[in-house]
Amino acid sequence: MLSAVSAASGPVARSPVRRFAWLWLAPAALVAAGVGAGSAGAAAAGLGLAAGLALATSI
Amino acid sequence: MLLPPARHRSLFDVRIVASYLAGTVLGASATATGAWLLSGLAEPLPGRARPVLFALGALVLWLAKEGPLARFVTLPEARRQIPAEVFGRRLSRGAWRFGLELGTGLRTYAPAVAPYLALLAVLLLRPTLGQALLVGAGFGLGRAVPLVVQLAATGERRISADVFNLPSRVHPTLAALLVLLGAYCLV
Repeated sequence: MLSAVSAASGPVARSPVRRFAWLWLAPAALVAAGVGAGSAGAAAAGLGLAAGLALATSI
Repeated sequence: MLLPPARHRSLFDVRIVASYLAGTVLGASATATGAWLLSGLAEPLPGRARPVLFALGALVLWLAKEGPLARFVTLPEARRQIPAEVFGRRLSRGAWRFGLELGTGLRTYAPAVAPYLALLAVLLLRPTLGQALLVGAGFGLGRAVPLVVQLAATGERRISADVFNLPSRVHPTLAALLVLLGAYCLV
């Protein structure tokens, strides 16, 4: 019955949901580089990436 | 739909995504440049006051978007979708224009608080132009990530934005924290 329900609900990504959640590591790494190494450029890119990713994934 | 599901991607699909990515980065960079120019108005503020004002402003933005003030305060956003006329006749050019509109962040819904925090950081903390452009480029890239992943995930069905989401409570908090931490490196 579960398989019938999932088939009827339409196709979804094969892998589990949140498969790409690891992409958040990218802005985190950039911000960490900014904090740790004092790189304002990396921090700027990281905060922008985090903001863009947040907006892209909230709509 | 810019990129329908398909088992194999063509060069045309790559061109669509590249056009879209170029648009989002350019649009975001334009907004970042405009914000950087406006940040000159914050010049009279003492250097030590700016981080404090930024922290207070960030708190108000968070409360207005995610907290109890959300019922009383509406942050500025364009509460409409980008019209289909933007696409015109050519899909690749339309993808660029669509990306440009989305990249500016001014022409569509903004349900997350992190972009507001990023904009406040540029306005108040007075980064260099290069740093402001990096904020813009990062924003544009982040805005384009779902479509880039859609291009790379051949054979998959349409990727929902949910696959990028951490648990619902963590996602906006993490994004906002990253923006705040990054902003303080600009002080």
